[in-house]
Amino acid sequence: MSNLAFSSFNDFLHMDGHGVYVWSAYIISTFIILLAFLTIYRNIQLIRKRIKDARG
Amino acid sequence: MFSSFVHRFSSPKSYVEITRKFFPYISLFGFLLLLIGWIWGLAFAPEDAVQGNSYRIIYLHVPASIFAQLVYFFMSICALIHLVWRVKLAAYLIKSAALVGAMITFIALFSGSIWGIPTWGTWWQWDARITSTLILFIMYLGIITLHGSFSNLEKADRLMSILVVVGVVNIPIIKKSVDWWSTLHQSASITISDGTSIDPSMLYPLLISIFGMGLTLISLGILSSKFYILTREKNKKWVQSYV
Repeated sequence: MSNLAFSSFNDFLHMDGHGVYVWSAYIISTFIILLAFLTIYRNIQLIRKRIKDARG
Repeated sequence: MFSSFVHRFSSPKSYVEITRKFFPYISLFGFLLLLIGWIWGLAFAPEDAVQGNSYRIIYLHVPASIFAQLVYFFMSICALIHLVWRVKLAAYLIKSAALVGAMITFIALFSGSIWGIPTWGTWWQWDARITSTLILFIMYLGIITLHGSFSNLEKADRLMSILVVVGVVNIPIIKKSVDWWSTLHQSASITISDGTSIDPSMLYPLLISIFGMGLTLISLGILSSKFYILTREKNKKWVQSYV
């Protein structure tokens, strides 16, 4: 892990023309995973509130 | 002692209580490992001699594909437990894991398609590995849909378990597809019997990404199962006092 594979940040983003594939794969997948966490978390809050309200 | 442990853990109430305790550690450790694995793989691992930088999708695609299959394997064990011992919790876990499985299988297909554009010159091919993974994705959706289509939930649990057990034949087909058929997809680079054909400088970040992805998905599964258990047992006394 000692050596960076790219000489500049621009090279890192561009990745010799492959950047568009690599970055879109990672960004969209991360977005899907985060969205799943947020959706489930929100649904847990909602069901808790509904059970509490029904209990009175 | 073992059976009393199984009995205790198989009650939805203690499952929710125990997983709640471990959740912060599992999720934090998972996110951290995934972040380290990805940064290492994207910025520090050397460029591939043949594929150039496009190969860096491996740190996303391989962990996603491994867990696309492992989630199903987990569900089939739960299905057997549910069918043999009638453990309710096992059915709850199948239903909540199917969502995680569908998501990660979609990511495996999607990242593979993007990887295919620069390396194979096509984003899709009806090749054995890709087709059997698409079938796995459809199975996850089918399991969720089947369970949702019954008003009798106990019956839904049982039929879902049977479908999961029947569908497990697809898992060895996916695994062996690259050996049985001549496919565009390459064969495994890491095997138990023959060791690995990847250089350590690329292998270590891959292994870290795999562990990180696994723990991240376990924490997503814990949340998903908690939601389903609360929904399913909302009229039970323990849920009323838990919320």
